[in-house]
Parts: sequence; structure tokens; C-alpha cells
Amino acid sequence: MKRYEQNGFFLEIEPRRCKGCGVCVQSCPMNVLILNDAGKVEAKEIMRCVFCGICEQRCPDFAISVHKSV
Amino acid sequence: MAYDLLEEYLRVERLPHVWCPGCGHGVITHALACAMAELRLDPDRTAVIGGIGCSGRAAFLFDMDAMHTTHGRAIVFATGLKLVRPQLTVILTLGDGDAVGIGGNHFIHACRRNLDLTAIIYNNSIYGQTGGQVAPTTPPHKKSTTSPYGNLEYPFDIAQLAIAAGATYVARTTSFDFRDMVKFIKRGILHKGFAVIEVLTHCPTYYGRLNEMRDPYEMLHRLKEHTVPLEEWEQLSAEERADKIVVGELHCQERPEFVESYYALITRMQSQQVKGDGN
Repeated sequence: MKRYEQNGFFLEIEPRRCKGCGVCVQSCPMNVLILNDAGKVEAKEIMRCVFCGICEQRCPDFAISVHKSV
Repeated sequence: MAYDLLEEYLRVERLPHVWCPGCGHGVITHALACAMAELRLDPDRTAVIGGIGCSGRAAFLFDMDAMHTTHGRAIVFATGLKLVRPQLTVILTLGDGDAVGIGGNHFIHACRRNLDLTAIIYNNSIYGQTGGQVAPTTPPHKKSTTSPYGNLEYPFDIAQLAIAAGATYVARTTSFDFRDMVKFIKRGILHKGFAVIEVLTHCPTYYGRLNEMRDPYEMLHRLKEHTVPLEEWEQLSAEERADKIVVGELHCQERPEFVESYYALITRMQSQQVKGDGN
């Protein structure tokens, strides 16, 4: 699992579950996410992320989670 | 929601699930898991029952008792379970074929009886698992593998059918409106009586590919464009309503619930019998 953190907010990506449909990439209002060469989602521009959670709500594969400190 | 919260309710070892990339069924299942987590349902006192079809697979993703039943008969099995174990929260994951196609008769009678069940209907407008055949919910002129020149039939409006048949909680939403899905599922579970939550969803593999919208993101947005919230719907003229679908909490009423009435009857008859023996 890949985990990105910023000011107490977390974006977690589980690449094993990702099927590469790209819905999260197209939904992200800040263009944070990309599909990598393996066809899996990756947070390329994490600095731009506002942790709105749209990617989590759109992902059909339980591959993304956005939440506040655990 | 953090994974560890969802993992109490999901069999994460079964992920990735079997649905196609971009399929809306995963989003609905996610919303159902969130609703369960937010309600803090006890997994030992909850059961999920699925029928046949892509939607039937949802039942096994939940780490609780589940049944995979025959096509269209999920409601029948759920009726039996609820009557024998009234303390269980019973949730149904039905497809559009399961609910109003093959299981249409069971569906209207469950609405009429008002059993305390929550039916989540994954309406993707097509028979996805069996190869994209025309369903009773396929909109007119849309293509499927068995209507290659466009569908000639008029589809069922599941929410209106449920209201007419007597369901006491009916809501409709889309796989685009995640928070609405969670909200309606939660209210449906808490509602005492038969709750129907119809979720319009997208099938990029069959419905999308045959109708020139292969991209799941585009399909999601098309769902959003074609639906109107209940408050706005009331202000629209008949022409404006033509190609739109109303979403929201469409119906909610209180009516005696079947399981309660059934057990009340048993108690009443048993007390009469005791009195009878005394004479």
C-alpha cells in the first residue's frame, strides 16, 4: 500500500486492487492522480492534493482511501 | 473512510473483486459498506443476500452471513430468513433483472407485505453478466445484444413500481451521488418496513460499449446529467421532464410491518390456547 501524508490528512492507494479504469484520474479536480506504466493509479502531484475525497467516492475497486489522521 | 473501518465489514482478501474495470457496482457496494460502518451495524446480526447476476456477487464481499440464491428469488430467501430470525438486519443486493425481470412477482409482493428488509437495486439497464441482453429496464431505442437495432419496449420505473406496490420507503439515486447513496441506504436500513433503494449505475462493458459510451467516467457524468433532484423536478414542465429521471427520497410512510404482525399473531393465538385449555 502506498501512503501519502500532508498536514494530518492521508491518501492511501492499494495498487493490487486497482484495475486501471481511470475514473479517479479523470475525476480529480486538482490533477493529482495519474495511471503509471503498469496501468495502476499513482499520486504524482501529491503537493496539489486538497484531500477532497472524490477519488475515493468514484473508485469502484476500494483502491483509494482519503481520511484524516488515524 | 479509512480502510480499517471498512475492513470490519468487508472480506478484503476477496479484493480485487470480479467486476469489470470502471463498473458502478463497486461504487454501490462501497456506499453500502460505508452505510454499515456509519450505523455501526453488528456483523454478527446482519445478513446480505444476493441473487444471480453481477449484483449477486456483492453479497460475498461482506464479512457476514451471506446467501447466493437462485435468479430473482433473493427476496424469497430473505423473507424466510427474516421470519425465522427477526433480530437480523437483512440487506438484499438485487440487480434490475433480479428485482423486476425474473423476480418481478416476488418484488411486488414483498412491497405489498412490507417486510422489514432493505433492497438495494443495482440498476444498470442491461443483463450484464450473461452477455448484455435487453432487460426490462433498458431505455427505449438503446442497443443491447438482443436488440441490435434499438429497444422497442418501454422500461419499468422501479421506484414508481415499488411505491404503487406498497413499499414504505423508496429512494432513487445514481452511482455518481455517493453521499446520497450512503444516506438513503442508512435510512432504508433504519426504516421499519420494506425499503427500496434504486441506484442507477453504469455498465461500461455492455451497455456502454453497445451504446457508444465506452468510458466509465463519461457514463457517470451522463447519469448525473439525466437525473434531476426531487425539489427541482416539481418545477419542471412535462416537456422538460421527458428525458430526465427524478432522484431523491421519493416515498416514506408508516404501515404495520409483517414480521411484527406475524409474531404478534403467534403470541395472541398462544395466549388464547392457554385460556382455552383452562376451560
